[in-house]
Amino acid sequence: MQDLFFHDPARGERISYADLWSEVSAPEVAQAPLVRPGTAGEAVRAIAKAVLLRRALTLFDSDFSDAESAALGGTAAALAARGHGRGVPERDLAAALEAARREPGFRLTLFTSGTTGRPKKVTHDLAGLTRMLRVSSRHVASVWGLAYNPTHIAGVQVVLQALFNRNPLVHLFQAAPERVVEWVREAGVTHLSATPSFYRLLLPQATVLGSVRAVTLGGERAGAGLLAELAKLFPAARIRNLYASTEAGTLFEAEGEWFVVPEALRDRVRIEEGGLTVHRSLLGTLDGGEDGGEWFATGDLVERASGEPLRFRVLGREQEGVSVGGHKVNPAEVEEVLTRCPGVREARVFGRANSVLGQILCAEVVAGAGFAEAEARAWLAERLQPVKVPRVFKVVPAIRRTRTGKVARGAP
Amino acid sequence: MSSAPDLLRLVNQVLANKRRPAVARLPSETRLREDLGFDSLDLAELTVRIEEAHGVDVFEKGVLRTAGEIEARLGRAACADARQSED
Repeated sequence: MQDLFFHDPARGERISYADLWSEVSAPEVAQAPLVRPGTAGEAVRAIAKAVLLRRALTLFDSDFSDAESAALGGTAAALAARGHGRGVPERDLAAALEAARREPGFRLTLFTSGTTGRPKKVTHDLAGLTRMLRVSSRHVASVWGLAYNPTHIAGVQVVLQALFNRNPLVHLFQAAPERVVEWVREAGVTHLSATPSFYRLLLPQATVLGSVRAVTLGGERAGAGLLAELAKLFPAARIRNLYASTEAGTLFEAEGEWFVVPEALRDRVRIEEGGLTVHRSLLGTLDGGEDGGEWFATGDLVERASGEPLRFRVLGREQEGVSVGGHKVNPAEVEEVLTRCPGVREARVFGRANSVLGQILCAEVVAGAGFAEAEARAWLAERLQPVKVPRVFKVVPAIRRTRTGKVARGAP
Repeated sequence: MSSAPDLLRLVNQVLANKRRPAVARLPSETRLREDLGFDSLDLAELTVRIEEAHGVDVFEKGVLRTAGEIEARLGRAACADARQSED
């Protein structure tokens, strides 16, 4: 469909580029600077408007609890505030998109699980978010499947790629596999970017999706088996791996599992003690970051293949982070909330390998008087995003600790 | 070996954790997503519970859609165990 910007088939919601233009081209436009979107459409609309209006936007995860959101500055009052300002001065959408890429003003603040405590803010400007952006006449007929949460950096990048090429986006995130197949076919999706978990849930598949020309994976490690299955499901597609993080955006891409550091970044990427480390200049602005050093440890353990140019593949995460379906969860944050729950004396939260989501969150609890698993789950569900609530609980007599007294992170 | 009553118990455990009412029966055509409302986190939890009970990762080779497919996979795994697996 011509002029379509966003389609959410599950909700029957459509936003056209004409709608978007009429919303931003009035002489004065009110736009909330802080948004906790209720739907993907709301998130996508907020991002596009902020880009065109060249304003700052803070996007809270839609599934943040009220308490999580308020602790990060997203109180009910702050979320209700409207920023007023001039509308887009250009004559049409094409001119406005071009100007938006040149002029400053747009900044996007997102949240990431830190290595300690609560989520922290990361603020990106357009340059950092569009490092891998391709705008050209070759992309005019592209149709994007939005298979990421649009409040996360990977989703934002898909939204921007579509927006700057004026392509339609079809919302596929969290849809059942049968619906994904149906909607990809119906819309003639040509580009898909998603986590390995998303693709894993699509398989096995007796059918082929011939309209898809580009398949991108990111956020978790993708095994060779999965890549082979995807080649069957998407026979016409080029399949690539992306290396990206909330802090840095997309940095590298690979045809297989080996990433090559491009010439332009060679002085800003290092491997230190097996961990991938990137220069701070490649990151967005970290708010309340735990260290202000010049180099930032990504937390990814990698193997080096060659030094010049640097080639590496990702082996896994350092122990701290757990990746549930590509969503980074910080066990320390969950432990902190869990140990405040009545009846919980001590808690250990850790990831365990899982064939559906890569990892699944588990908890061990030393129970005190009045402990009930159902109440602990409800306690966590009230305070944390669903993905941060451990799915399997075990009551244990004592918590395993490392020699330094820290809670041991590995699965028992 | 009858896995049906046990699969019912494990499914109901996942439903209870979602604060959904238990189901009394689990016909083999029951679809995990559409009929039980399982999302990917629920499916992941179910795999862990099945693995703990049976030692089999039923979703290892792709995600199964129905209760019957899981039972078939568990049945095959049990047979393979008995034959001490040829491949």
